[in-house]
Amino acid sequence: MANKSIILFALLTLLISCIDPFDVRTGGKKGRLVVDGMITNFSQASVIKLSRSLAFDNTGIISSYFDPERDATVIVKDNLGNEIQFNETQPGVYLPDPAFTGTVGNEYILQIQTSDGQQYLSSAEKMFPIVPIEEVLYEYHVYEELVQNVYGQYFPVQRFGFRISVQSNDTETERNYYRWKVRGIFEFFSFIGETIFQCWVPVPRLETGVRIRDDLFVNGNSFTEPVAIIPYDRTTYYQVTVQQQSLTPDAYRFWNDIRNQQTNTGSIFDPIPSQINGNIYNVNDPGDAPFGFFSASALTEKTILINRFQASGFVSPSPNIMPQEGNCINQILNATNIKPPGFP
Amino acid sequence: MKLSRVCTLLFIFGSLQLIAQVKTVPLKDAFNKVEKNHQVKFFYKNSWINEITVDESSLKLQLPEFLALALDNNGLPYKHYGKHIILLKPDNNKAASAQNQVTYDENPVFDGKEYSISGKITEANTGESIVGASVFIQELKTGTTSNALGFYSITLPSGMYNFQFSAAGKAASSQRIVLNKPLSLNIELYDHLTQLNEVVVKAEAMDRNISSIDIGLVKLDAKALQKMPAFMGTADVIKSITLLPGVSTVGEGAAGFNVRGGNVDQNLILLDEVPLFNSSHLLGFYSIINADEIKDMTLYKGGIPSQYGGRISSVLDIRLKDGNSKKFSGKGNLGMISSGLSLEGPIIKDKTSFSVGGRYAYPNWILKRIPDYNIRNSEAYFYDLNATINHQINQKNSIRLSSYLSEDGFKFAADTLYGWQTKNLALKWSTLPSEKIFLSTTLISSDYSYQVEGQNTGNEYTADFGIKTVGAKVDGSYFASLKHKIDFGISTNFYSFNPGSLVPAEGSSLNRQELETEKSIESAIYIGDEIKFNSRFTIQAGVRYSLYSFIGPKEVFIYDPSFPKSPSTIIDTVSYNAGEIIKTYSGIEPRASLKFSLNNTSSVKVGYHRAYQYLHLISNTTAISPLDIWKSSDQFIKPQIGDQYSAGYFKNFLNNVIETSVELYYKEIQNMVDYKDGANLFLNPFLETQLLPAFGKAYGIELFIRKNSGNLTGWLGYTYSRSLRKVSGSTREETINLGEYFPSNFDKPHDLSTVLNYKFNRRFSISSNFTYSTGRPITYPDAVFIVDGYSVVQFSERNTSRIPDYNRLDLAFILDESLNKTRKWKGSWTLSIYNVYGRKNPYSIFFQPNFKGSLAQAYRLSVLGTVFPSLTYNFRF
Repeated sequence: MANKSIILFALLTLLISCIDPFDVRTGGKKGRLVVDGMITNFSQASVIKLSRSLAFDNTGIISSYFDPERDATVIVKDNLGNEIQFNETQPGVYLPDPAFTGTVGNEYILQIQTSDGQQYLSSAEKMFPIVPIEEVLYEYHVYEELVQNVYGQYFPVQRFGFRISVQSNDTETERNYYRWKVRGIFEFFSFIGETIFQCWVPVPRLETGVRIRDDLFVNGNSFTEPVAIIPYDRTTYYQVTVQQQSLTPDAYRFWNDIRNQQTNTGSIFDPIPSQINGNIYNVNDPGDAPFGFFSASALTEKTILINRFQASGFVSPSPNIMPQEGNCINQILNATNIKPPGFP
Repeated sequence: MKLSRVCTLLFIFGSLQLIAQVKTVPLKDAFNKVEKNHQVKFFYKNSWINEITVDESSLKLQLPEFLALALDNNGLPYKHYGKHIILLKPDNNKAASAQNQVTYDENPVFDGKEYSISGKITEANTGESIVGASVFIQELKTGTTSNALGFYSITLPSGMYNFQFSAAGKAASSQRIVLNKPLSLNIELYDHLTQLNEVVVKAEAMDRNISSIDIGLVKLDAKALQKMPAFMGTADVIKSITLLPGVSTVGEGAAGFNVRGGNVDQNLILLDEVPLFNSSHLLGFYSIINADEIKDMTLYKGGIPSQYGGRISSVLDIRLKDGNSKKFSGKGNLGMISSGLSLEGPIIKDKTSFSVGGRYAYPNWILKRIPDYNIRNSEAYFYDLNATINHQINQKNSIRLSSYLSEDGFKFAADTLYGWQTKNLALKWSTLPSEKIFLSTTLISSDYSYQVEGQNTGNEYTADFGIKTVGAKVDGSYFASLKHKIDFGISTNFYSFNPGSLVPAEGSSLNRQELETEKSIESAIYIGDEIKFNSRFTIQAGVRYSLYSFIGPKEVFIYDPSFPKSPSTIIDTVSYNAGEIIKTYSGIEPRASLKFSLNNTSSVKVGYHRAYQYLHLISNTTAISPLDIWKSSDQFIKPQIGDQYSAGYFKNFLNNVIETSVELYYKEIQNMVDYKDGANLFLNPFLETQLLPAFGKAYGIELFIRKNSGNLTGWLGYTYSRSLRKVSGSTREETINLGEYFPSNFDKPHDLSTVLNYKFNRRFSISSNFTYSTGRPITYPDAVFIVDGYSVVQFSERNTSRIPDYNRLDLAFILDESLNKTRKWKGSWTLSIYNVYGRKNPYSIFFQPNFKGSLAQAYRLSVLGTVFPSLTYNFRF
């Protein structure tokens, strides 16, 4: 809600304004340790990723580059005295024993020693429980999207899709913080002559930006939160899986800072950009605070299957992508012809 | 004519009798001498002046003084074109009415006692009282000024004096006065512009800037405002103020203004003595004060007199028109975004008058042209309405009722409605219990409220916020003697804040969320004395004592003092009953200024003031928004305390045609409100956990040159200033920038503004604004890192970089009303061009993932980054 008002003011200033790319290059905090870690109650869903920060060079290319931190010693300790060893399986990616699962109610501390001998510790993160998802809802949705043309101008394009919402029952007892992640699989077809080929493509992230909320205004209620939009570009099935996570207040603040950065439109009605502080510190050097966050989250998931043709009510404009000639497995990256569970 | 002539002669004979050395010469001879001394030429008919004589001593006066004495004093109107002074046919009635108000003994006897002379100074054509008109006694080289209601009073030893009454834009009026008993003398001043066509005449007392005690004060009248180029052609009070030295704004379209490094909420904006809590229409593109309804306004940047309190950086005192008590008239304008109409006139002639004015804006046709889907489906409107009634009960008592109503609405993307309203009312009774005492009693009421209404299916709600004020005050002036003018008063305000309540609609999944109403009382008592030691040396010293209480009913949280405040460190809750005092603050606020005249054309002034501020605007955005909440000081938020030291050198050239000044200031502010990184302020019941106390420091030098008359008028101001903040708490979370000083959001060291108006002839003129300033501080990214697939920009310490410098030129072409005096309807056209060279001044630099991608990229946002022409038709009748 607060965010909405910010967007309003942003757009009002946009009304008589223009936005151009601007050249800024800085790199004062290049090479800082970055921690992206999470302990969960699901098996094979806990991971610690270590990397190094990059200079802001404004090209956008280098900023997507992951500069791994290799050969670190990574241990997570819980409040019962257990130590979980994390081993590097790919450059910068550290995983525990595949059988490991976190326990709701436990507290976890991350301990890192990098190859250059620096020691880092996180604050203690408690794994809060998470309520199950009651329902994943969808509705046909027409919206406009700003698209940049070759001259760099933005112009609106009408889009058709489905808005995915999640419905949950908040518990009244404590302040709850939620985060949602959405992934999907869509079905598509191709043909060679009379032969029809059927394929499926996984989409690892459907939510556009960080999706979080607290229960400040809905405490103890059943509430509905929009989490993603899937396109109506084919008439085929789309399987959507929503993952609901619990966050600690501190983790919520961290992700909220990132969300604010993602929705900042530069208007003077936006909050002043701020440092995004994590929960990890250098044991010996307070000036070398790593970026990123180590969190403990309980997870729950729900999957639905959407018959997009039916869900559109049959009346909408026809989707713009038609089956093409050829074997579908070669037409889209990561496509598979092995039917995933849940598809008819 | 006869009567006035007789009077004049009587005075002269009178003075001959008493003061032997005074000789008179015929006016014609005087003209000949003055023509030689001052290289001018007089044009006149002999028959108009052959009976008139003037003091021989007047020949030694400067030209403007001579003209005032020889011509104004004798009821001789004239026009001054360069070296030519053309006398017009004498206006018998005017001279008579100006002169016949005081009767004189033919043989005055002076008893050596002191007597007071007092009265009201008004505009001759409309009966409107004139604020800050100058009363100057030539013999004593001293004087006074009229107060906010046009009232003046001065106490002098008995004797015969030449009084000169003058005011900005008005022809000076001279009176020879025999003072041997208490006198009441009302003065009417005529307009310079219509009557004398911008004559280059300024009475000696027009050197107000050097002779008055005021430091850090700027006065603007409505006429000056109307001539400046304005965005979309609408003359704008607040925008024009930001062109003055020492006043700045965060950026285009930003609401409010910053004075000498202070925050927006540190300005006390008084509209007919009622404080305004939001000065913006349309989120900041317009100010909510209708320029057509203003009589005048005064901005105190430093040396704030002790009668004002409650805000620490400045006072903007705006006075609305009283209404024309002589005849009915109206004026208005038609613009592309808004139009307005004002009417005024007598209800009972010379006794009761009214003034009403309103504006309505229709920006929707522009919104509909914006390609963005959400904006195209948005709607906006605003209106405001002023009404005042003045009633003169008798010579000594008057009463005034003033009201103001404004409303803004903004519907965003068909599902969210925003609105804010201001309702003000003031009732004032002015009385003169004696010639030496002036008293006014004012009751005020103000109601500022704002709402957000969400219409999103499943999440419908209405959220309300607001602040209500009820207050009463008594202000008095005691004109004790020529040396002492004492101001005193007492005031009390009762505030009731609604910090936010969210009411869900039927079927909405949201919960009702209500923050408790907060109540407080702020009272003050003050006394000040203006002491004139001699004509060169004046001191104004005063003290104000303010007392503030935060009162129940309220539930108050107690936080564990050993941790930073957060909802999880609450250890207890204490409940207070209605009216019970939760926390009291009080403060002594000394104020002083001192003026020393070096000579007739220059003076030095110094000033100091301290002020307490108990109300705070809570906003962590770069510019304030209409949804920011006002917070009353409580047990966590201490009152802000501001101390300002200022000094200035003032010098005038060419008979006060050119005014110059250099002013220096240094300011310290304690207990400012700052915010934790990423603070959440919306409907937060634990608001104090998001706030941090800051220390503020500001200093600067302001250079100002103003030319007041001639074909070219205007000013040039340059300011070098710094505005710094420091937040140093006991933990990392409570510290910003490692506890070092950092620049405030509006710290713009170099700031240059010029406002120029050139009159090509009597109908056509061009005016221009040019501004240049250093870019405001901004927080730049230092690094990029990746978490959970998102590339995140990490920022540096707060406000360590700057956006590029700002500059802009505006022009206005003004075709003034026809010179045909007999025509009742008078219209004028203004073509304004905002941002003439279409500079894309960066408003902000921000960092966002490339559109829908995950790659961070820097963007420049320019608001009003193109040329904006507009046409306005102004009319009056």
